[in-house]
Amino acid sequence: MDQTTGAFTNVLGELAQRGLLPSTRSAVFVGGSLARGWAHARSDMDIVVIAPEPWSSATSTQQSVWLTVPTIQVEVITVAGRRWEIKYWLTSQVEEAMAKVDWEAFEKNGPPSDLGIYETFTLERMCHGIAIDGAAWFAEHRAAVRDSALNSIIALQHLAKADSALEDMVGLREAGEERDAVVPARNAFGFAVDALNASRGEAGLEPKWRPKRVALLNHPCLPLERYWELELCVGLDPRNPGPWLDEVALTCGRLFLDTNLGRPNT
Amino acid sequence: MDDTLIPLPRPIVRVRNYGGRIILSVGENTVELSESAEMMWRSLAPDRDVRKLVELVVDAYDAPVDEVSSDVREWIAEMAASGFIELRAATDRPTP
Repeated sequence: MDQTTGAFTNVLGELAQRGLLPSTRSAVFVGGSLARGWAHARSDMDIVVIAPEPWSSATSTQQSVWLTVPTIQVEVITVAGRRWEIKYWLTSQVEEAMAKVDWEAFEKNGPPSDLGIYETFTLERMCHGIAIDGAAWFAEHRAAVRDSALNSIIALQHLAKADSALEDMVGLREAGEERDAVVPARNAFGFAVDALNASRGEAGLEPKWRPKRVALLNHPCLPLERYWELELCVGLDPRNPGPWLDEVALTCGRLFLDTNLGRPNT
Repeated sequence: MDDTLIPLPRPIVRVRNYGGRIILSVGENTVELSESAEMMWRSLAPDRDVRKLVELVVDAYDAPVDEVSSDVREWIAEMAASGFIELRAATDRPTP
């Protein structure tokens, strides 16, 4: 029997009624903020339909993915004032994307160079998604994604961005542009936190949910109050940003130390 | 080495933790931190000069001061020469 939560019992019926549900499906799941319980009144409903046959309709648009079948289909509708975005993936596309985040490949070759943004989003959303159809298929594949190197790959992407932002911060300071250096310093801190969160299983790609992830994980190395102090630039003196920049750089370095890119339990 | 100098990690150092193995890289230089080096690296702070770092390591390892002092200073010098650490005078403040 499919695991369906009460909040989403109308989803399949709504899709079927609008002719947006393929007859054969591996799974359908809700991802994103609604699945996490983080949504607000303006949040989209993010639905992923996984099916063995390609979706085709007069209203769908395409998104490019770096897979053998190089596109997915997207439908957008509005239901009771809420925007629903429905993405149609082939079962083979999901499984091909999953193969890219295999631990052995990551440990041998480093992060995959061909993992596209939509593949990353969908795999990440599977980790916290709620199945509304095909629960057995979904549970099996979600477990495989959770056990994969996906979180470490995303963490590494965030670390690379943090490194780059810190380089910019240093460059601006060397040029005497201390105030301008605040911008990359803030970015570096955000990416460092995202990397830490990813390494602990909260690999979201959207910065807006960063505080919720920090609160959820309750990092010993970054208590929520400390996170907010830096996120809100508490202590930043606009006439003398140097001490604050030093503090941010040092904090980033400490977060990097605790961002474990290895397999869990290593 | 001046005891009052403050060793700090340079912000441009890449830090990676692979299952507890801490790898630092800067420019062409890469180093894997030993357990004691990791403890020292984690302890670098704006309010901790060379003397205080030595004291910290002495306390942590319950080792002879002279031996620790020599090892810590050597490590700081090597890490600074390789570009991982900057040494600041206690009065150094970033240019406003």
